[in-house]
Amino acid sequence: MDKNNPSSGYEFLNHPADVWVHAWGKTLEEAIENCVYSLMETMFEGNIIENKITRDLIIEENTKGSLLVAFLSEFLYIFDTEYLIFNHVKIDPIVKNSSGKLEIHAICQGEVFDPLKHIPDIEVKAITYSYLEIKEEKKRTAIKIVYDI
Amino acid sequence: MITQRIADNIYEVSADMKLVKVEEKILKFQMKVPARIYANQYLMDRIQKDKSIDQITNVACLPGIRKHVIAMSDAHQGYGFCIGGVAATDLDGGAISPGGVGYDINCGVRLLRTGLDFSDVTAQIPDLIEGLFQNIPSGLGSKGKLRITPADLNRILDEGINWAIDKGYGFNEDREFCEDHGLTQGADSSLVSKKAKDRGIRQLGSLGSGNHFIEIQRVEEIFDEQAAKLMGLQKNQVTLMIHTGSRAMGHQICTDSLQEIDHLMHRNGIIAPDRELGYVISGTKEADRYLAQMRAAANFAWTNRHIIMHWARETFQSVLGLDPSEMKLIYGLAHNILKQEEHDLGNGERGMVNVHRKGATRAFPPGHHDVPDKYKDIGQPVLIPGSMGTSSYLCVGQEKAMDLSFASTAHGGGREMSRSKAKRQFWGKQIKEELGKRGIVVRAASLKILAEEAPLAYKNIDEVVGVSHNLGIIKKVVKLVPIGVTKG
Repeated sequence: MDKNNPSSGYEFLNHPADVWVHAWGKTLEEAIENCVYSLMETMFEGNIIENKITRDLIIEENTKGSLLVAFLSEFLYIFDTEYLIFNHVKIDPIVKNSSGKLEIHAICQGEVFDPLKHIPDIEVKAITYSYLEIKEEKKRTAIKIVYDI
Repeated sequence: MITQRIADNIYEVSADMKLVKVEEKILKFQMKVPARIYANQYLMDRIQKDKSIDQITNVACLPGIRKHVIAMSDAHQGYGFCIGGVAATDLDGGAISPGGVGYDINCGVRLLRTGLDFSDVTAQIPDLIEGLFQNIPSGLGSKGKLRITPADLNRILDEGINWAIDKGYGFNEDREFCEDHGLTQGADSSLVSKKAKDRGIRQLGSLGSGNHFIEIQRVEEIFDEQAAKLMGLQKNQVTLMIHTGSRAMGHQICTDSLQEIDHLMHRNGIIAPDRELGYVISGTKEADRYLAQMRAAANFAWTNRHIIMHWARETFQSVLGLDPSEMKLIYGLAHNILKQEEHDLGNGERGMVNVHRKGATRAFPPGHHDVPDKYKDIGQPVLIPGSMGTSSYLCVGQEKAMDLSFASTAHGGGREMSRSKAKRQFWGKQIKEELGKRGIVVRAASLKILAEEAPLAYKNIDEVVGVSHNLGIIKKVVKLVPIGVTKG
């Protein structure tokens, strides 16, 4: 993907200590997909991740903000426990489930981390609520989020 | 908000009303105590550039906050709290905020002396650094070399370094020279989530990445001969410093706790001035639940640094033939932790409080009951590492710390340049060459880290330490300069 695409992409903003991401897309789902890509770029220098493994993720939360933080945190957990990294994420429209919570369903494709191929960069400790912004407009959603490193 | 200079090295924002935008709404919050910044003009110019002051004034609005909230001389913007932030709250009814401890629970430092003179080991520094780099896993996703069982992990979370000493790592006497003796009481491994345990179990005995490091140093300057002598240090002696934390164990416990607290606040309709400042009320079962998990992560971190220390001693033994018992631990401490301590609360009042130290070092004065007997007359050793390639300081806590800072001081250089800007401005390779020219051997898992951690991306450590020294919070003992560094 082209991360500089004006309708769907992401960039890294200046933050005194950490990684501050601005991601955008035509929908909230697309903007969140771009957050995942920005997370992978923070952690790995080599951007060749192949589609070898498919993983379904379902997360539910009370608000869009906590849903986003919990969803991205899941990638840190999967990396630490299974060493899986992803380069392709497709998120279905976010719905309110039977327990009244927001539910995200994503199909993620990637492979097992190989330090020679993917070149580790910086470890992300956590996805934070710090100055978290989700700005939804009719044809565009923009997210600002900070990763603690 | 107006920041006034009230004395040398002290700035203050008086307790005022704050208007804060929380999720599109403008809300009013009342600061209950003033917010203080300990800085000189050079540091203040830098601290004012980011949101540090805004963050400590938010903290000043939390329930049960006492006396003053402090941003130390190394302060920079964090999450909820600034890094370099200290705040104390009532044990009964005060706020306990995971943001005041941070994600890397009990990130901290250890310092060892070797008894060796720099001139005797100059030629072996590259081998030592290579040995440390090979023996101690580092970098993104670094897994420890240890294979521990879930039962071992629970013991580590509950018993700290006692587990490691039982297994033959380090020595009995190391305990005496660790904050909390390497075991923070009140931990409960049964409350730690499966997720945190799954992430932590493979990472025991690993350095991680970012600003974590192992450094071989030499004593460049002695400020206090008597204290240095008591610590067994003389000019040009080689020392070893380890800086890391609780790895993903702590990160996940913080993430889990913030999420739980977020749900709780959402249910109860309580709003904090910043979402990262979510809090529970001290004395409630929710607060006890966080504390028991935070302490478990602290025990993981004490043990992590202990095992790394053991491998570092082994490395010196294999390269130089130095007996591990010759490498004495001077002191080990935390700089991201919450402690329940007795303090002077102003107006002649004393009492137990929840001291949040977020990127701040405990600094008890001479005679305090928590200072090891050996150091009772000089005060608790305080370790303040500088950025890569600059200097680090070994200091001791002083009496003024009790009145000014809840016995706390700065913890490091404190960033002033963003990592992305540092990466644009510096090349890892060039940084490595420049450090090499100054006689510093560098080994890093990623060259990009070297650019991000470029010395110029941090505040000047001499200024940071100078402020605390001049305020009488700490006293400088020795200045250490690096001769070899390994980074994740």
